Amino acid sequence: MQPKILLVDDREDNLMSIEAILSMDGYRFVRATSGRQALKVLLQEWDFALILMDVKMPNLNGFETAALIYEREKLRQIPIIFITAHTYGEDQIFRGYQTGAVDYIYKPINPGLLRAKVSVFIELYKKNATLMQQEQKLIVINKNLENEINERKLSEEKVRALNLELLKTIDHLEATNKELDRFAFMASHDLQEPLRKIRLFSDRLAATYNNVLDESGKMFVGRIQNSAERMQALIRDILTFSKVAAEKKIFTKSDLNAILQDVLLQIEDVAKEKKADIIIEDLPSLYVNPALMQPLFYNLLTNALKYARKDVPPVVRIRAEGKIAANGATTANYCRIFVEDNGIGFEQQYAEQIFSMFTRLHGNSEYEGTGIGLALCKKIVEDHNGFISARSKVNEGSTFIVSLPLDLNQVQAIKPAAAESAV
Amino acid sequence: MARYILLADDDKDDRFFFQQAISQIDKEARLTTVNDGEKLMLWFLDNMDNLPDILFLDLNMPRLNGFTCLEQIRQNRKLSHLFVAIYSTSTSPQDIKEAFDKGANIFINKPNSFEDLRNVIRKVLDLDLAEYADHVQPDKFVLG
Repeated sequence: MQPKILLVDDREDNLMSIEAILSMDGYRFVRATSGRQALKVLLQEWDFALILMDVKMPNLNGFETAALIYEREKLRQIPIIFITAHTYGEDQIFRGYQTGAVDYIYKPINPGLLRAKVSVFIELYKKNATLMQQEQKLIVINKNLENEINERKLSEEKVRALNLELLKTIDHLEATNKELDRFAFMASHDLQEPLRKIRLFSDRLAATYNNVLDESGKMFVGRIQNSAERMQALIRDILTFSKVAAEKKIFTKSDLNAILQDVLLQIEDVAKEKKADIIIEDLPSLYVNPALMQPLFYNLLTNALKYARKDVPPVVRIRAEGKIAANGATTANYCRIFVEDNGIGFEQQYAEQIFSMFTRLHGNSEYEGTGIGLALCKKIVEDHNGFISARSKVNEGSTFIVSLPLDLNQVQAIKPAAAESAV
Repeated sequence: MARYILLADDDKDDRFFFQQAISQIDKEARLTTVNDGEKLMLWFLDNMDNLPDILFLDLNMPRLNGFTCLEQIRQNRKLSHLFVAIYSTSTSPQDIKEAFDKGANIFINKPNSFEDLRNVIRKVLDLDLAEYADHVQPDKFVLG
């Protein structure tokens, strides 16, 4: 930007000569031929870098004009160089300084001196202007920063408030969950007592009065026993479920082969009775809660044996597939364990439903069950941040797929990213 | 030699089944029952010279529960060697551990059928109690 200089002199020739001297330095000039005109100009424009003003002018002289100029706050920054033919005494010069003038130039004008002096002030003005600009910028930046800080504080407070609420909700949920678990545990525990009595008394009835009871009497007692047994199984399974829910989430690297061997011992009798062939391929060691792996595989294996085809001895195969980046949504690595059987199978449309609590595909007269086993399996697998799913074809067999994370951090992560099943 | 058995159980039905089972297993066996923990400890006061071979002790009883009785029994010089079989509906590992720590000899889960009840009592009566005289056996602690 070209610096602007206001020239004030009552004589045109003087104005022209000053302009001529300074013309090569790239300034822009505004002329005024009297103090009054100068003041008029300054009403409209005040962005002058410098005022060059003759002292001796009719009506308003230079000093008077300067005094009037400096009455206005906005104009006080503009330096004035007085141009005068007079050699003033000290008191006159002091008067000039008092009004705010910064310098004098004497006539006849020495062009070099004029240019030098003007350039000093212009330089000063430019620097000032830059400084002011920077100050403005700084102010704006400061303001933005302040706004940002305020916003951040506000959002931090919001986040904190939300967090607090979340924590409260989590606490509440945990408390409710614990209460529910305790309730389930107590309820099923206390429910077992009268049931045990029903079983014992019907036992005694059947044994002691066998001779007295006629056929339908025996049948009734048999049905009482049967129902009591079923209810007991149901309560036992609910109890197991609530125990699993209460189980602490502690995971240690455990050899699945050893766990499967334990399970095999538990189902030995049934397996023998059904002439089952159970093939366990080499399984990995994973970060799991071993106390939970037992019921998981126990349920999957007993299911495989239970739902065998009538005329085909069950063949159950357990195998693992290593590092597979399962489920597009996550990059975590899972180990997939397949439990395959050659049993009666089911329609694939039920593949998700079967994992819901109390869901059964067969009546009790066909296959006994409580509808809790697979719900328990799902709960256990999800407690490990894994997935369980099933594939099946009627009369060909079913495959249950358990995907467990390989990485301990992934196993321990607070909640599974997606609890959907990965097929 | 006929066993002398003491049962402490507040459950009337369980006392009844126990009696029936004992009488079917061993006609010679003598059985005395008490209805709660407090009555059990009072019974001991009167019968210090006539102690049973085996005490079947329920855990969950009013007034004095089984654990407290067990503690008092083990602290009593004359009773400290009494063979105590916990006889409870509980299967909880905490209860089993507490019973073991407090010095019970074996732990029996009340069976669901009369047949099982007879079997488990027979097992206890057939035990060589001398084996348990001075120390409990962790691997044979839970029975039935």
